[in-house]
Amino acid sequence: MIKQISKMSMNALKENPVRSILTTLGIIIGTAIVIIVLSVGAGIKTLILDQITSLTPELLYVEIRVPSSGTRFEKESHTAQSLGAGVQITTMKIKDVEDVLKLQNIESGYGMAIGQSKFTHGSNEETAMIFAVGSEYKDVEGLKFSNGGFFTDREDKALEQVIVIGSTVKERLFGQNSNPIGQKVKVNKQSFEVIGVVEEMGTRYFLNMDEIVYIPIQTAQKKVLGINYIQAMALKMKDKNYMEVTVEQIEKLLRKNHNIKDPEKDDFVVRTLDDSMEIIDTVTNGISILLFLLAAISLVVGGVGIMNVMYVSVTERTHEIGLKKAVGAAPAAIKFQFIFEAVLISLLGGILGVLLGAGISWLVSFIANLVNFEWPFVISSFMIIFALSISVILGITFGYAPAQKAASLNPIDALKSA
Amino acid sequence: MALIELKNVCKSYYSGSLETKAVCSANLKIKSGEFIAIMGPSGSGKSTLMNIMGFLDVPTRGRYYFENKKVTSFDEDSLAEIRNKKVGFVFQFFYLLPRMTALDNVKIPMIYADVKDKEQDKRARKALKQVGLGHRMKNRPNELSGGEQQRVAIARALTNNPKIIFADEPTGNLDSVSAKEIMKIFEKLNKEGKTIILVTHDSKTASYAKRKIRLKDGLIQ
Repeated sequence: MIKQISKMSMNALKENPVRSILTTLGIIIGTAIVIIVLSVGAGIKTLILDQITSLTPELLYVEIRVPSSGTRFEKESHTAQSLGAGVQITTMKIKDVEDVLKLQNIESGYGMAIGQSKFTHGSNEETAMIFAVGSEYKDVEGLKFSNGGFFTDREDKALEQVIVIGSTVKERLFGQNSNPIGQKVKVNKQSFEVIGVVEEMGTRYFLNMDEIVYIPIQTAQKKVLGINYIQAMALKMKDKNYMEVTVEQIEKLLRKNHNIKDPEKDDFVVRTLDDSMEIIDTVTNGISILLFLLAAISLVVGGVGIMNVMYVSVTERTHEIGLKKAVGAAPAAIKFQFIFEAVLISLLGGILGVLLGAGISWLVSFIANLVNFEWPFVISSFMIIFALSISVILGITFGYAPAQKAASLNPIDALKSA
Repeated sequence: MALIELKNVCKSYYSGSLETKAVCSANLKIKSGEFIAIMGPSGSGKSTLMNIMGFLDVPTRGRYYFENKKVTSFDEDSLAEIRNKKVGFVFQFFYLLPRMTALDNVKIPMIYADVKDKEQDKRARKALKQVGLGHRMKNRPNELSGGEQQRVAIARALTNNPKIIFADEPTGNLDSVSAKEIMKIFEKLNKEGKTIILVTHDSKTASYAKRKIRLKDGLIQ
């Protein structure tokens, strides 16, 4: 019985193929968004994890910030605005790094400033991002070299004019199969000797690491960037279990160095890996919630569309319903036929939506990979089953009322409606 | 023992506070195997009476006993089951589903009786042969003449082997030759033991029946 009634539902859909497809549009879009959120979400997670694998829990970052009041996140956006408006915090110095390095739980660390400049070698020119860092950068970040090595603390203190370049920078300045070690590169009208080439790394922290030039921080301050401050420091703890105490010690020390009495007026912020993860989570969760909301709206609109079409279908087939009731169809059998029809429509929409969503997710990962991001295309049977279950539930939910109407028709009135 | 017994059955329609009695104080006994014609002019309530006896409509007053069971207290599901298994309907306008073949149309009542596929096919073919349409099984209603369509409808009414066949103006839409053929089929079915209850205003059609009940203004004369 169920088999034959199901067949009736299917035949009814085949009679109106265009209407059936149009009705599914909302469901298609909704299901596609669900798949995109799940698939792209999983892809992003992999991507972010890949980007921060070098972030070990022992690391602390101290960054400058514009003093203000309010909550942590407000402070940060305030900093971004102020920096954008040209406010520069110049209070953090190399001495701060040296002082912090004396703390008991700090194993190593380096100060950092970021800049940009034009580098030339012969007729080749390349504008690259400068990482002005201390010599410890190599160990803390785990740099590997295809040629030469990194500068030492002695070279940094002696203001020696040496640089380490990323693989792309090397290619553009010296060509692909060359050994630039010992060669000179001009920056800011001064000559620098290349002492190392970093192995190809791809993107990390969402930066293309192969397009970076490393210069000893003190050399860079005096001879390239023309500044006497640093923008951040990275510190490696001996024991991460004492993180909270260590953060407190750093804060106390820097407040003393910077003459700050009110912690509200801090011109720096100490970040832990937990903080970074928290920010990433907040952002990705926010986006996911927004997209799921969009999916929910689309699915409800799609569901109402199905309900509408099912009401039309019941009205169109009142005569058929009357006949079936007259020859002995129980209300439940009629109800089943129409609910099944609604489920078929929404399931069709669900299947098309899964295909569309998977297609878009694949395209996103394909494009991301083209621009060098490690962004995998992730789709699991769980995602598909989840999305299809939603569409089936929608079909039942929104098909119920029209089906109920069909089932409760009076056979004589329904027959006479022909 | 009466197959059908109506006691003081009334059916009224209300529009606002205005009551219109379609059937009033109907008392009737029908025995198994009878061939009855319910006659009367249009609007006399004969169709309403048939619909009540055929479980398609419920009376507003009175009691209806079918096989000595009080039907007036049955719920929707039980009524559906009785319609499915105990009675068959033949209507003036055939009421075949247009997109199905004759064979599939005949199968519809069996779907709701949960008859197995193979058995459905066997019984539907047999019923169609019985009404002389063995060669038209795969045709759709619009490929059949009025008389042929009505014969498909009769075959559909027969498939669950009902006790009673209700026919509401079965020849009302047919030419006289087809009408005669249809009435012969009913006559044959009655001889084979089916109870036939026929509603008609046409005395020629009614002449096939063994007993006539006349209705006027909702009252049995």
